[in-house]
Formats: sequence, structure tokens, C-alpha cells
Amino acid sequence: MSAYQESIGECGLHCFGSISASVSHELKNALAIINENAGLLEDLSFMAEKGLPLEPARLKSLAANIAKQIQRADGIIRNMNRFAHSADEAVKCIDLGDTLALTVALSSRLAAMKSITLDFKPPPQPMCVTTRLFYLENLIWLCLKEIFERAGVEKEICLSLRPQPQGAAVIFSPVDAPVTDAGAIDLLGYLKAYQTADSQRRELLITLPVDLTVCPS
Amino acid sequence: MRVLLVDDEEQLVSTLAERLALRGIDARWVTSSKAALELVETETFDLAILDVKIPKISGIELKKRLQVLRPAMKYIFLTGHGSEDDFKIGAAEAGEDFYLVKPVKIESLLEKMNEVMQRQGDGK
Repeated sequence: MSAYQESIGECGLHCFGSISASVSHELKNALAIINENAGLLEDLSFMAEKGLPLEPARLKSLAANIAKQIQRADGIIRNMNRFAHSADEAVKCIDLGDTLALTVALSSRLAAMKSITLDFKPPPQPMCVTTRLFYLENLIWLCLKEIFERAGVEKEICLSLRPQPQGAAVIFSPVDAPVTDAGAIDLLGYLKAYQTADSQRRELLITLPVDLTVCPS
Repeated sequence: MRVLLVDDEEQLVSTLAERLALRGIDARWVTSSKAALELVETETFDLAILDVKIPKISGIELKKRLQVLRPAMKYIFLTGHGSEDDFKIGAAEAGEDFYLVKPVKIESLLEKMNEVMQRQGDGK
């Protein structure tokens, strides 16, 4: 294995670890809420046994809270499962809208920690490219991480997609400068992609080739 | 005992406050560090139960700022960290304070609350 491949592998592992940690933290919060609501149900049942009146509306509300958190946890696990399976996949044709929606969902905790609103505008028509899904997810994650770090007072980051003559671009805005993270730079090369910052439109474009396997290096 | 709960998960802190109230503990809750700082400027609490990962101002940073306002207040940290190693790192970050991993059993929390308040009584 070359040093370059090793570096890509390490970068992938690092991103996988960071995303897993963030997701597990969110999952713990959902479990903690279920725990408190179940605990309160137990407390109220105990009080009812001692003769205190039990309000059906209160019970319904607690049960609804539990159901909501179970749905939340299920969504978190489904997203994590999709992301985890993307590591098994070789080069394939992917829907960029789906990929971005998943990465945005996986980044929600990271955005919340910085009080940033992350918005994704799906394209009107599906946009597909042939690429390495796992490493594309890693690249978008690393870009978002750096953009969040330098977001400053601007607390709304928007992601969108735009067709390009040679492929498709993932657009981050408002962003004034290219990303500098070493892992992201390596991944750009690995995916035969490139970045351009449009200072007038305050956009960062990550342009991906239509087909990684036929794109010249 | 007056307790302040701070966590960005509203359902978590509001339910926990209700459970503490059923046990005769006066618990107030807020969902941001900013709101906690504002509340502590006007009200006194014996103990603060803080999430470690609160957006904008972390629980660890919040503790430092609260200590300036209320030097006598005691602290318990709650965290979503899962592994034993993470727990140790978190405990080290939290200094001599008490540290619990979510989800927390109410009995464990009450035990820690008593322990921390007893420590205060001992003058440690």
C-alpha cells in the first residue's frame, strides 16, 4: 500500500470514528429522555398506588414523548447504518441528493454544537455521479467541519447541488475561501474532484466528475 | 436543596426536574448556558447539574463562569460519552466534580447529589 493510499485510509477511519462518536452521543440523549419519561411513569404509578389521582392525559403525554424519542433513535440508527454500509461499497453510481441529505443528517449534532443551522436544498431532478460513496461522505463531512469552525457570526450554512459540464458540484454557502484541511485535500485528489471558491457569490464548489473511473487523473 | 439543571435537550431537563420535585427537591431548568448565567445572576442554587456538551458554551466552560458568580455552588456533570476511556477523560476535565454517564438512574443521581452536598458540609 502506498503512503498516499495509507493516508486516505487513515482519513476515512478518522472520519468514521468522529461521525460514530457524534451519532452515539445523540443516541445517548434520546435514551436519556426515554429513561426519564419511563422513570416519571414509574413515579406516577407509585404515587397512584398510594392513592394520589393519576391523570390519563399526563400518561398519554409521557407515552407520546417516549414514542417520539424511539422514532428519533430509529432515524439516527438508520442513518448510521447507511453510512456504515457505504464503507463496504466499491465505486458505484450514486444519487448526490440522497448522499448530501444523509451527510447533513449525520452532521446535525456537529452543527447544533456550534449553533449553526444547516440547510440542504435537494435538486429538482436526481443528480448522479459514479464515485466512491464512503470517501465522498467523508469529504463533505470534513468540509462542513471546517466551515462550521470558521462560520463566525453567520449561523446558516446552505448546501445545494448544481450540474457542471464535466459532472456535478456540491455547493456550500456562504463560504469565502477554499477548505485547507489536509484530509479533505487528499480526498479531493482521490475522488478526482476539485474545489473553487467564488468570492462574489460567496460559494465553495466541490466539483465531482460524472464518472470517477473514466476521468483522467 | 435548590438545584439548577442545564442541558440543551429540553425534554430531558424538564422531566428530570419534575422527578426531582416529586422527591422534594426544588429544581429549575434551562436549555442553554446563556440562560443559566442569567438565572444564576438573580437566583441562588446549591448545586448545578450540567451537560458537558452544551452548544456554544460547554458545560465545563459554564462551570468556570458560574464559579465566578457563585463560588459556593457545587457541580455534577452529565455526559453522553459512552466508553470507559471517555469517562476518564471527562472526569479529568471536570476536575474534582462528580460525573455521570447518560442515561442516569435517579437513585444514582440522588446518591451523587447527597455525596456532593455532604462534601460541601465537610468543608472539602
